[in-house]
This record gives sequence, C-alpha cells and structure tokens, in this order.
Amino acid sequence: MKRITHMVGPLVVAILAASQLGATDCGQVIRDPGFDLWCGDSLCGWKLLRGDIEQVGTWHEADSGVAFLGDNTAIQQVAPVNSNDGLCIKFSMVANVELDAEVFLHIDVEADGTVERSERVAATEWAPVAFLIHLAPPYDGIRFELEKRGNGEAILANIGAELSEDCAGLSQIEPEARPNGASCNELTECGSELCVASQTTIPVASPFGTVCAGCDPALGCIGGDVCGVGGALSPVLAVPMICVAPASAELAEQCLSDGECGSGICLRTTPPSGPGVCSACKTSAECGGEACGPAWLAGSRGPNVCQPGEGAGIAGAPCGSNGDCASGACAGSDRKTCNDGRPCETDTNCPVANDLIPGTCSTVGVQGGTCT
Amino acid sequence: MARPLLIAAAIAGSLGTAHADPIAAHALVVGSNAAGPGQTELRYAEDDARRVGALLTELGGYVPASVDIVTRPTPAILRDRLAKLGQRVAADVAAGKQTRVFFYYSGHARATAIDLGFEALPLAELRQTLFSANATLTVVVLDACQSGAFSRVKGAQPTADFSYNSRHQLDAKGVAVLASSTGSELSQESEQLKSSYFTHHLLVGMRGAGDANSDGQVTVDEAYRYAYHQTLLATSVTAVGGQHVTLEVDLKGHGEVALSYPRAATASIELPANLEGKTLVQLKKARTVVAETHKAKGKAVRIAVAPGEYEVLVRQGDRMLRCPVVAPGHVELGRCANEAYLDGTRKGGTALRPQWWEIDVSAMLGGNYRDGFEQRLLDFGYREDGGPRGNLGLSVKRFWVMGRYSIGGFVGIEHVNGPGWARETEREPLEFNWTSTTIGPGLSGHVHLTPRIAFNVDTTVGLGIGRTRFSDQDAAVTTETHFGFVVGGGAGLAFEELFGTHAELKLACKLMTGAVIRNDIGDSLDPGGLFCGLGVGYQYGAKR
Repeated sequence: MKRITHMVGPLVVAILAASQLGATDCGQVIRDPGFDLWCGDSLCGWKLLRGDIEQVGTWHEADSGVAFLGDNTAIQQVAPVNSNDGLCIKFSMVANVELDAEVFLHIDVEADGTVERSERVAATEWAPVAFLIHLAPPYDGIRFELEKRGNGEAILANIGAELSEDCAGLSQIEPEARPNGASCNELTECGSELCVASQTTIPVASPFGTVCAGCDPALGCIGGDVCGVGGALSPVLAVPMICVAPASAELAEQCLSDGECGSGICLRTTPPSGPGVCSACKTSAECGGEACGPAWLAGSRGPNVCQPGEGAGIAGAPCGSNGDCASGACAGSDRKTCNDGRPCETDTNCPVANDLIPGTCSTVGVQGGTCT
Repeated sequence: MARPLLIAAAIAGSLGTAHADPIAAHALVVGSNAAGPGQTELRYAEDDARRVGALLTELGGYVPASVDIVTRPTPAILRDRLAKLGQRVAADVAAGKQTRVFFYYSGHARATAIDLGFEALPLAELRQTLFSANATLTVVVLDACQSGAFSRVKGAQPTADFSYNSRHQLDAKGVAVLASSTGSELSQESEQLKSSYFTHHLLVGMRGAGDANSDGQVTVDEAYRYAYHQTLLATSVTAVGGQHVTLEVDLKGHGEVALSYPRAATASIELPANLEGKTLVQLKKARTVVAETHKAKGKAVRIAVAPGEYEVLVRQGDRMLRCPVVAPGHVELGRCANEAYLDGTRKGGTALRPQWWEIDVSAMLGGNYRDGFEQRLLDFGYREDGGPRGNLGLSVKRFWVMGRYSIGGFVGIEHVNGPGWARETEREPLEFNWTSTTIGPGLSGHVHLTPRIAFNVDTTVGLGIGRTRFSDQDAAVTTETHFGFVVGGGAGLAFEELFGTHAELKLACKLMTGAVIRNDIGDSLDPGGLFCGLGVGYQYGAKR
C-alpha cells in the first residue's frame, strides 16, 4: 500500500482545541449515568454486548440499578469525549458486588476495540466506587465497558463519568496507535502512518478534516484494490478510508469511487462532499431516457435508480425500495444508517451529539436490491 | 389548689365579753371566686365568706343584722358596702358607743389591690376607707395571695415570728391585721377541706381549738397562733409549699381582743386530753369537714359546733380511729373503731397535686445532621434542596406543682417536614421527600425563675410515622409509610401570662432522634435533629 502523508503543524492543535468544545454534557461524559432510562428490558443509553441484564431497585424500588445476570455479561457505552474536553475522567458508581462476582471497568480509548486499561470493582455492599482515568492526548472518544464474570450477584447504579482535575500524578493511559478514522494532526499519530483529508464524515469537529486512513483516495491503492469506505469502527471515529476490493460495494453502500461499486457507479456531489453512494445510474441516459433519481431521501441520500418509486423495475432491475419494482418487491438487505449515512445496527452505533444522545439508527431502504 | 388570700383585721377598741359589753359590732365579710386576667376561678372563697359570717353570729358576738356578707362584688358594690359600714360606725361613734369592725376578704389579690374579677380595688383605698371610720377596734382578715403585703398598713408592725406575744400590745384600741400569707407567698385552697387552708384553720381555732388557755374565748393572738401552726403544718406538704400566716398589730391599752366565744356555743365536741394525731371532725351524714386539727396529747380541746351527729377521725400512723360523737358531747376513745388508713383519704392533700392543663403549639426550624440514609442519597447522586427541616408540634400537658417546681405529663404530636432530594435525569428528575409524625407521651418539668418566667424541660418517647414520596424519571409517584420510635428532649423558657391572659410564649430548642424511615438496603433515616423555635401555650387551671 502506498502511503502518502500530510504534515499538520502545532498551530492546528490550538485551533482544534478552540473549536471543539461541548463534547460533554456539563462535564458528564456518558449518557444515562443513573441507569434511569430503560427501553423495555434494555438500557437506552447502554449497549448490551453479551449476557443479560435486569432492571432492579436499589435503595428505593423506583430508583433503578442494573443487575448483571449470568456469569459473563457486559454492557458498553461510547463517550464522545476527546482530548480537547479534558484528560482526566472520574468514573464513579455505586456497587453491590458479591465475593464470587468479578466486575471490571474496561477503558477502550478511541473505541476501537482495544482495551487499554481494566479496573476491578471490589466486592462491596452498596458502596460508592470511583476510578480516575488519566488519558494522554490526543484521543477521540472512550468506550466504557462494564463486565461481570462469575455467578455472584452484581448490581451497579448511579454510574457517572465526568471530567475531573484530580489526576495529577497518575500515570496516563497511552492509547495504541490511532486507528483509521481518528482525527489526526500528524502522521506519527496514526497506526497507518497516513493522515489525510477525510472524505467521510468526521463525527468530531476537525478544522482541517484530516484523519488517519489506510489509503489516500487521491492516490489510490496498489495491487488492484481501490481506496474506498471501510466498516465503521466506532461512532466517535469517521468511517475509515481503506483499500478495498474493486466492485465490492453493493447498491446503496457508501463509496468513494466508481470502481468500488458493483454497479460501477459511485454517485458523489461535485465537488465531492462526503462519501458517495453506489447507484444504478447517474443520468437518464442509463435509464433509456427515463428518470434517474434517488431511491430515498430520508436520512442520507439513497442510491440513484431508474424511475424511482414508479414501480417500473422489471425482475433483476436495481432497486432501492419495493416501490421501484413492478412486482412491488425489492429483494436485498435492509439498509440501516445513522444520520450521517454510515451503516449501523442500533442507535449506539451512531455518533453522539453534544447532549450525549446517540443519533438515530433507522432503516432507510434496501441495500443491494434487485426487483423480483 | 392555691389561691390568693388576704386577711386584715383591724381592731378598734377593746373587747370584753362580747355578750356583756355594750359594744356596737359590725362585720363586712366579702368573698369572691371571680378570676381576673391570668387568674383561675377560685372554688371556695365565697363559701369561706359565708362560713366566716355564720361563725361571727354563732360564736363571735355579732347579731345577724350586723354581719354583711357580700359575694362576688364589683369594686363599686364593695365601695358602697364599705361606705354603709362607715356610716353605721359613724352613727355609733356619734352615739357615744364603742364600736368594733370586722372585715374579712377572701379572693384573688395582688400586692397592691384585691382583684374582683376583671376589676380591682386598691389596697390603699381599702385601708383608707376602713380606718377612716374611726371604729374603736378594727380587725381585718385577708385571705389572699401576698396578703402579707397588707403589713404596709400604716402603724402596723409585723410580728417577727410565731413566738411573738402580742398580749403586751393588746392593751388599747387600734388595728390588727391577720393575713393568710406573707407578702410573697401564695395562699392555697384545699379540695379536701373545701375551703382555704387558712380560713378553715382560723375558723376551727375560733371554734375552740385555738383556745389555748381554755378560758372559753379565742383571742386574736390565740387565733393567730393556732392558724399559724395549723396552716403551716397543712400547707408544708402541698405542692405550693408552706404558707405563713402573719399578724400585724397596732394596739393600745390592756386586755385581750377576743374574736370568738366558743364557750357560748350551744354545742361542742371535746377532744380528750389523751387523744393525739391529725384529727378530723366531720358531719356524719354530709361527710363535710367541720374541723381539721393536729391534736397534741396533754390537754383537752373543745370545738364549738352545731348540734348533731359527727364523726371524729384520728389518724395514728397507718391506722385511723373513727369515733362517733353527738354534739354536744365528747370523744370516747373506747368507742372508736380502729381502721386501716386508706390512701384514698389523702386525695387532695398529697404533696403532689394536679394543678393545671397546658396546650402548646410550636414551630421550629432545625439543621440536619447526616445519617446513613442521607449519605446513601448523596452516594446515589441526589442533592438536597438546602432548606432547613421544619418541625410543628402540638401537645397537651398536665402539670403537678411542688413549690416553684412543676412536673407534668403530656401527650404530643410532632410533625417534621424533611428537605427534598433530587437527581436530574434525561427525563423528569428523581425526587424524594419525606415527612415524619411522632405521637407519644412525655414528661415535662418547670421551674419558675421569676413569677412569670419559667425554665422548661421536656422528654418524650413516641411512635414515629414516616411518609415518603418518590417521583421517578417518568414522574410516576410512589409513596410509602414507615414506623419507628423517636426519643427526644428539649429545654426552653416560657414567658407566662402574656398580656394578662393565660397565654405564654416559649423559646425552646429540642433534640430528637429515632429510626423511622428505612430504605430497601437497610439504612435508617433519622427524622430528628436539633430544632429551635417559638411556641405558644395556653394554661388552664389553678396554678396558685
């Protein structure tokens, strides 16, 4: 892979700091600290990674905590806090942990799946517990994971993670090399050793729009691959740009170039602003003179198809929704995206706004659809 | 029951044997149960006046027409009666007769006036009116609180003690003042005697028990000695404390001044010389106490009574002699039944007697102290709204008096409104509030620092009823009720008789503690704390 770097000077750091305020909510860096918000049997602000949880009363039956059921249960929440907000975070909770239960707080800086530090919550009976997390700059976002192992009872309540100034003297958590999609100022910050202008949406403000990337779309990739859009690692990172196989993206997936799409058409704005979308047509010329337009406009723009919504597509014709097909059925997978167009499964995959509420993950149409 | 009593006796002129001397005798006998501001209605003052009037005609040498008995007068009425008394005396003096005046007052009084309900007659005016009549002998008997203040009667000299022998001065016309108590004491009534202690013993003395030399007449000096001893003896075991009868005289000439002539009685009961102990003479059917005296061994005592059947009860240790007597007659100890003494006979005469009711209402503010429950709320991220706890109290108390000290029991209810606690969420805030109501009995103590300022202490143990209210993030409200015990104590000052009424203002602090409200993980909320604030009270009943 050919790597091209863009040097960014120290001045950028200062501008970034001044422009990227408010990634926390009054110092609180996580959502639903009290486990107060339940969406049915699930926590609204936390994602269940494995096992099962249950809403239980704490000091009062109506003030909820979360009980970790089974012997291997974990929940997580990605906080959009970054190094411009602060480098010290106090993570606190009230814990009721039996001796034969092991409860851990895992800290995954940049939410890239690599846990940089784990803290053990000692067995205790409804005692307040707090950990100070001292982070080294720069970082974008933290994934907090709470894990319980063993058969003992473990109930956690009133979790809070807020910026603090009490970390003086504590060793800093040095993040791993920054992953693709993380904002960067210098190429040395990136594991890929490539810091380029991003063509995908960066969830955190970045005045120069540079991110760590696996490739530079302007230069392409070697070995026949194309520089395209990879899978989203984290809601706090930009969707990474990496070298992908040619024609590997389905209709309605994000793309950077025509060669990335199976349809051979990557519809982008001119000049490019954000990633494009793999489409079936660019103009009516590809549709025999019929209209070529987006299959949907909800959320992000959908793929262009011929005669969208007119029910004109014959069997095998590309489609973005059932309305595009004469048969009324567009076969493919559900296309679920966040507001910025990145694919998602749940709201927690979506970038978090300043009020710590994740964006909405919604089904917008059909991905890789063909009329039946 | 205590009451103000003031007796002033002014004796103008010498008294020989009442039945033989051509002396014009006039009596004005006044009794008033009426209560003024801050006072309590008396029970027996008017009855005492009637008894005194009756005895004057029975044994005192007064003809019924000359004894003017006035009950519950207003100052205007009393002035009118005094004026008429003065007119009669003046007429007798003008006719060249020796005159004697007997004035008796039983009722409320202060150091400066006798209280006649909501009005008063100044003592200075009373003195002026009585003494300006120029009777040969004036006897003033005042049975009222602080009646010793009448010692300021011009020319009267207070006796130093009971040992005072007035005989040397009773040699001429003049003035004698007999007062039921000193200038600073309270005078008391007896539920058992159905009379004031003083008037009762004065009358018993005048009926013959006070006839120390057995000459058949009871002089002022003898009546004083007897009333002094018996009243002090009887009141020394009451809650209010010993009551000292005083005598002041300003007499010239020789000869004793007789107040009564029991030898002239149509009937009498003689207590034999070998009888000893607290002796009660009561009408057999009516069970009315006619006389109560502490009879010493060694000398027979004759008590003048109306003819009829009586019982003489003599307490000797834990036994009691019950002796039937038909007056005129004498006690025959051989006929007396020897019975076990029943405590019930002590009722009304014990050292600790119910005195007054009190209703208190208080409002206090207090600072909290952190307990495990509140610390738990802090751990869970709640914040207090910062307001102080409020305490409202209501209690009904009953007090018993021992001198300047009082102890009481009460039933009270205390309501504490706790501070609010809240924690923000993305929806509605979590809110927790609590109140606690404690109901229970307690003990109170009073000590009067001044006549109208008392230091109070209270202790209580009660059942606490706690109510909690929790509003969750969806504004759904959960209420709970808890029970527990609360103990507390307090102290403060009471400013009594506000604006001349039964009301009092209290400044007090109290400390309460208890475990009433519990959370689901075992912490207890203490609804107590240190509270300070104001209270008002209303006292009902006889305090003096």
